[in-house]
Amino acid sequence: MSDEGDKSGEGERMVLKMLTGSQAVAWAARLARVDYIPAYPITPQTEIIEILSEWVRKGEMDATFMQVESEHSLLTAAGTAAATGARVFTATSSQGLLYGFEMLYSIAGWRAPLVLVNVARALAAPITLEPDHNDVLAARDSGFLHFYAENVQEALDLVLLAYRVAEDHRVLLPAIVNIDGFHLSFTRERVDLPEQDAVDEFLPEYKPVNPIRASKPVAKGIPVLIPPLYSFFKYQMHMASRNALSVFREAAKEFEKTFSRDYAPVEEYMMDDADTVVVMSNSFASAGKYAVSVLRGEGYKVGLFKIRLFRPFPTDDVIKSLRGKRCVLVIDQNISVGKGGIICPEIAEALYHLEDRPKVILPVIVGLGGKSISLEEFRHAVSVAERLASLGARPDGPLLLFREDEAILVESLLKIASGG
Amino acid sequence: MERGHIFNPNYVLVTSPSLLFDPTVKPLDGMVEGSVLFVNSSKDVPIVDSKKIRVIYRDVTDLALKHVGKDILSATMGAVACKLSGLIGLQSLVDSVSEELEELGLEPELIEKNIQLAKECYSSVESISLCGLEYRPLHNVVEVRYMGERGIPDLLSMGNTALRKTGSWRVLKPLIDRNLCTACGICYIYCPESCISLDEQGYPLINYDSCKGCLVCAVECPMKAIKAERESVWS
Repeated sequence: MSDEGDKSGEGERMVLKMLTGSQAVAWAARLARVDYIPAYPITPQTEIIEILSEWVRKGEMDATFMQVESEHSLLTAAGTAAATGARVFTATSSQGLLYGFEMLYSIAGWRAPLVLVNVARALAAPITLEPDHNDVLAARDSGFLHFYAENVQEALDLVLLAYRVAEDHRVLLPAIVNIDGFHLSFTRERVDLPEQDAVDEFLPEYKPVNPIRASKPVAKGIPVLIPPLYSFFKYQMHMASRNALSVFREAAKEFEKTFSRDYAPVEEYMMDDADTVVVMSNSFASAGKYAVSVLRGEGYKVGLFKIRLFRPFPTDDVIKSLRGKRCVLVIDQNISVGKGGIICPEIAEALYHLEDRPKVILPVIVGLGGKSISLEEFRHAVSVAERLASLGARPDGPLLLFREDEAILVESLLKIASGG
Repeated sequence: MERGHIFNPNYVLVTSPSLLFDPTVKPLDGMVEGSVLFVNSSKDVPIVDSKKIRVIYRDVTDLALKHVGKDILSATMGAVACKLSGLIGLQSLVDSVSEELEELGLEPELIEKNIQLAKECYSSVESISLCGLEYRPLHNVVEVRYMGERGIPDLLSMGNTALRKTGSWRVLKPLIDRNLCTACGICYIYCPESCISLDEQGYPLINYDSCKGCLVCAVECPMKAIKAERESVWS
């Protein structure tokens, strides 16, 4: 479905492989020649660190692998190592990300670039192992750059791109690359695995700014009890993150030259002449693309807009792609309880000041805890948005999508749980 | 193309016939006329669904036991999928079985056995090319209503695990030889499923509705009074 995934690696500096998402991001860390890998297991992330520990043990990777005692220690170890100038890779998921949460803001504040792969899994309670994006989006405001992968190839490529952007001296911020648990982490897909020398060319050695040395101490993340100083440093972080938009474009251009795969902060699918656009991100965007292609056949003038880079937020791309459209549906696979989706208000804000903004911006919640998203749900959401547009009406809260077969299953399980 | 949940499967491979009727698994969902169902079973299993799907039965567990001596089914089902779909040739199959098992650190001899197993599974079915199948029947989209207290994830009926008949998962069935059994109660203590109870004289009784066939009891029995037998009848 993805254009990038279908290009052959023949004649390029790559080898064709069938890899899981876990294997792909582990390969990316290996090809990036990371120095340090702090690790702590959690489903569905563990396979990544198992692979890396095996490679380090066999001497196939020249890196230090260390299993720590919690995710709080994991992120502390990762951030401090990056502050000494090591190239750091780590990975976690869901509850693990939340357990280490305090350190996310610290690492970003130290301006210590590293790459953290989050294998998306919905948050407890109730507890599940299946994916949605409340875990990764909890880290939205931390200062980490956010890259969201739709397929296994993207997962590998975005880790390489994330290092390149994060370590750029115009940016110097850590990055999260999100891959959906199970749907990407444990699914084998065709991947063009880049050759080492090609990656070495694309990703030069990390040149740290003011690295901590025993011979040359540096205090990172100093206390600033004078309020304007705090504001000043936070604004600096914000501007550094905004720089990452153009740095990403530059890096993507070079990546395309070397690997023949083209990555923009966003992706358009069947958007030409579309009246209605479905906005999505991550692996379920493939289901969205499939639905869009079917709905096109039924006469709906519908397209899909995928967000690949979420922080910094690609405001200009959103405006360019969505202005003048009649309806925009934002599919949030997350829920800010008591409000609705997290991404929808950001899309709405980006479009608000345009004369030709969409008539309807419909917030849609679906896919929480790995709930599948079916053709009928996409069609329903599209028809609700189009009906609102023709009536000139506004949405009455987010659309919470659910199917009858799912309702029947839930009812039967509730009966068992209540003993009734 | 579908990624994640497969709504419109052309081929469905079911490792255990017990999964066919599991309401939370529902492997037949989305199958339409002409699509192909492969069931790992030596016997025909009544498919309640009257859809005109093509059903193929093969006992690949038997083949796994023959070649590898264990009911490990990944290479078998993978091989069947390669052949049925006609998408992956024998050499590619052999290469990937070998590569994956090498990654797991298996001994060359065991890898060779798995390759022989995969080859036999591959040749046990014919390719069936499918095109132009109907789209599955669509479901209604419904509104989730606010349910008050029922919408809180509380579990009030404790012990409901017994409702799930895990006995159908069993490949090997533990059988107690009453002549050798000394009623020591070791199996009763070790059973991880708590599905062994003691009768009035203290002899163990296995609840086969729940026994998954893990054979911890057979391993722990000091008298070697518990034998494992291939589950022949599935019900």
